[in-house]
Amino acid sequence: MNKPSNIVQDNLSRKIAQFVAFRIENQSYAFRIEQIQEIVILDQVTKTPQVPDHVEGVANLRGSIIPIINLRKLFGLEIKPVDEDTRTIVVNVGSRTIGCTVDTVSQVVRIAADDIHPAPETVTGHGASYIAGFARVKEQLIVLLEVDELLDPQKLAHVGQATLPDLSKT
Amino acid sequence: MSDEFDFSSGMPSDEMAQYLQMFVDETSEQLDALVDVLLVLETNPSSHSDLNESFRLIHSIKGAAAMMGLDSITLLTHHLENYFERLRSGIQHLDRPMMQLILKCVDFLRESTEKLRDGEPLRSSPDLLDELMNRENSQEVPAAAENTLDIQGSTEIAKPSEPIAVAESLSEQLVEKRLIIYFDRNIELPELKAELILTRVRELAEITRLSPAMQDLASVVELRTLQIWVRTIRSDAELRAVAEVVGVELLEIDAIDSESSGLHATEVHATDAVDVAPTLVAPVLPSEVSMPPVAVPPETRPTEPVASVEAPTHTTEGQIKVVETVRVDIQRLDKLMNLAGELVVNRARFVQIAHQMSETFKKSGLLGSLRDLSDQLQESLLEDSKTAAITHDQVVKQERRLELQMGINTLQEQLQVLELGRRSFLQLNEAIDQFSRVSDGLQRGVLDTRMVPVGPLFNRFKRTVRDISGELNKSVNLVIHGEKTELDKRMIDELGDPLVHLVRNAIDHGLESEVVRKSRGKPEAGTLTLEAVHSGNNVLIYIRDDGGGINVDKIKKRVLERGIATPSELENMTDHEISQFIWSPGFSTAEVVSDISGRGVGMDIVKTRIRELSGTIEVHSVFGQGTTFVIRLPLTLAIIRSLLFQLNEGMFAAPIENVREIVSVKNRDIISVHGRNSIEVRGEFIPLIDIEDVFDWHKTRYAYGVNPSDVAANETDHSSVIILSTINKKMGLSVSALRGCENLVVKSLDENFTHIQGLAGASILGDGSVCLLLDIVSCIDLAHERLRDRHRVNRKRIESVS
Repeated sequence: MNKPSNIVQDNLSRKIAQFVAFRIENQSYAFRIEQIQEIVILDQVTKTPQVPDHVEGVANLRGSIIPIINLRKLFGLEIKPVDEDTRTIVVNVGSRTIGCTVDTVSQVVRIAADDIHPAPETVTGHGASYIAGFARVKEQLIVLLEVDELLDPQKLAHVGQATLPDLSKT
Repeated sequence: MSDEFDFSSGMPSDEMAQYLQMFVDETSEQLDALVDVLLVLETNPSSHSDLNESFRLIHSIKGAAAMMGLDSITLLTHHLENYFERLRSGIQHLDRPMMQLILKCVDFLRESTEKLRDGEPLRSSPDLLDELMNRENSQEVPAAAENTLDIQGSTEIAKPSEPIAVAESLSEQLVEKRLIIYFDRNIELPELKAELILTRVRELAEITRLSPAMQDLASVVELRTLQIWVRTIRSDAELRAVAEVVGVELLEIDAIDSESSGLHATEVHATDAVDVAPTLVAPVLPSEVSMPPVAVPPETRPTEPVASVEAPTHTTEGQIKVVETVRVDIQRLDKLMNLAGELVVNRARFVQIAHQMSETFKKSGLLGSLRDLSDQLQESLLEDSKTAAITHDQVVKQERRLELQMGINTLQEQLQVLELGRRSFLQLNEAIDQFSRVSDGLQRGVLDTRMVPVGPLFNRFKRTVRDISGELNKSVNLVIHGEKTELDKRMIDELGDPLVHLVRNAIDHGLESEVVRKSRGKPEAGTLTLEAVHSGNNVLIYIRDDGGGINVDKIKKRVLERGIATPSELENMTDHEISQFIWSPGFSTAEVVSDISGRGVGMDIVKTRIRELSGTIEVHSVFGQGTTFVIRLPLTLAIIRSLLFQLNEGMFAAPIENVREIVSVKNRDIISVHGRNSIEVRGEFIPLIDIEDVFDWHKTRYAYGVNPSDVAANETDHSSVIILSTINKKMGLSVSALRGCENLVVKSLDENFTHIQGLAGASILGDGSVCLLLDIVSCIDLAHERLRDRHRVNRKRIESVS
């Protein structure tokens, strides 16, 4: 798996990379488009026992059973009811397929490597290694997330605990 | 494929890579068979038929390995073959150290084939080779590089009809021979050596054929072996003298028995004439076919010990069962299996849709009442028109009436369409029934293709038991029952390790030493039983020993030492409950940590492995009398007949095998003692458990589909309780609603997610939703654990208050 630092280099060599941007609360985030399998609207999620709060349960994705992780909850926010904008982004983490529920999926954005800035160490240092960088697109700040780091089963537990960057200051 | 191989360590050449798989499969089978025979030989070392069979097996492994260019295997088997040759001819006898060595060699060969399968480079076996050669030398047998013919020639002093003499007396005759030259892997430019040898051989003999061919010599990537077919009057010793140059590691000479002259011209090692024929006509694969599986002794010397070889030879060949089989990559079967599984899910979907449609169609009520309504309208309209026709004055009404009439006509046409639709629906139902039958059949067929008898797996333990009991100096009788019981191939593959562990434990910890056994009035030799039986949709595997049983006191001591439980907790536990601590990670009560077991890493891993196979394992033990482990495995990993039921948290399923009965319990009949509920079913008290007692559910409610509280709302004065049972435990689970039985295609949660204790997996229902399949054994464990914890917390609370 690529480390976040490599991505920046990758992008430098390719100049422009595509990201899928989505919103949680008032903040925009984005996953690299290569890591995304699809975006779906789920109507049924089966709750599973013995799992952390941020796991909504499991769902049927065309015959495969995948876990559904609520990113709001993962980031320590209160959940909000499913509405017409709610989407589940299906990502591939290693050999696993995992669904991530987000408030809304906004768009595919093309971000030039020059526009990606490494996140300040004060942010990534606190276990938030899943933040690959910040990007400013049309005056809007997008937090680029590294899926493999964010949803790594071993690291999942720490995500909620890591303090999210105070984005208002950046 | 060959890219993965390290050529410096004797890897197959390019063109042979495709035969590799076949080689690996066949060799594994032959090694299994070899071990079987060896174990028989151990008790009856002079059994000629078994010696011959061993020889034949080793020989064919060698032949195949030589063809594949696997030098390390060829070399080792060559020496083994030599050894068996001497055993066969009675020069040597099989003793215990030698048996040990042979088994080690078999292990090495097995390891080698595994490496080949995994594409890893082979290592050579210098230790084993040295040891083999030492033994050969110590028996005053010429060095290992000698071929079997010469060995006999120079050592069979005891035999009246001296082989050398025979050879000399026939020296005027032209004999066809094959020289197989194995080059030292370290020499440079082996092709030059080859040419040198060829030149020298040519002086003595007429070379009829070469492999590799002359013109290819220089181009062969790494020349390891050279085969020369010659026609000569010279003796093997003479040939050997010229061909053995520096850099030749090993030289074999086969005499090829061509037609009748072979009767005298060749020694006892003469190639089987049957085998030679294809050699001569099929030059492409010379090494494979020309190696004689068994010697055919000339009839003229019936007194020679080897002569008795003949009869068994033919019987062994006659015994080979001709079952036509196809080797299939297991992944293809897996794929087929998955597809069949999908089909079953689809079928369930069809059935569900049809069920929903039957509300509309099957209940003829709707159609009937529509038809009645239209008939009534028609009638009243007719009557109305009769009266209206008399008055003649209401033109407007007449028009309305016409419109109405047209409306009724349309309605009736539509009704006819609906009626057609209803008939089609009935046909659809029939088609779905048919579809169900076919998909069931297909699924069963696919499952059957994966089923293999458990016998070979069990038989492997003959060896394990022999080794371990030898090491521990205990005598053990292994009894095997039900070896014809069939299990999914994948499960058989996965079961090996856990079983080895259990068997080791049984011999090491379970069975007492002979002295102790005697004092307890048991036979000195312990009995270990491996048994497989069918039970419904399950296969039960018993691993039973008649040893000392689990020592509960020892376990208690250990539990306290490790702080796994408190003394007061232990007090409340039955012996059976206490024995369950053996499944805790890192638990071992063995006083001496031996090489074989006792490191305590075993049992929890065994349990995990069995669980991964959707199976369960339980232990029953009677102190002083023995221990039995019962492994319960589903016949197949994929489909489990289950009872579906609704709980507050969603839809769940339990394997039907674990459902003993369903009872309706009035709330006032629930007996509550110390916060634990139980119910009485026909005089038996069964703990009543809520799913909340089994699982931790996080409190976050994500709003999808049915709101759980909706279901909980319709509470009544009684509830349905499913009595779930395992081999020795029962538990009642109260459920909100029952949904009937279905064949569930079980999917693993581990694949994309993680294993959840208490769940055996999940399945997709006809409506596309996911239901969770309970693992009853671990559910019961969980419930006990949590109730105990709760009890502990309560008690602490009480203590702190007072």
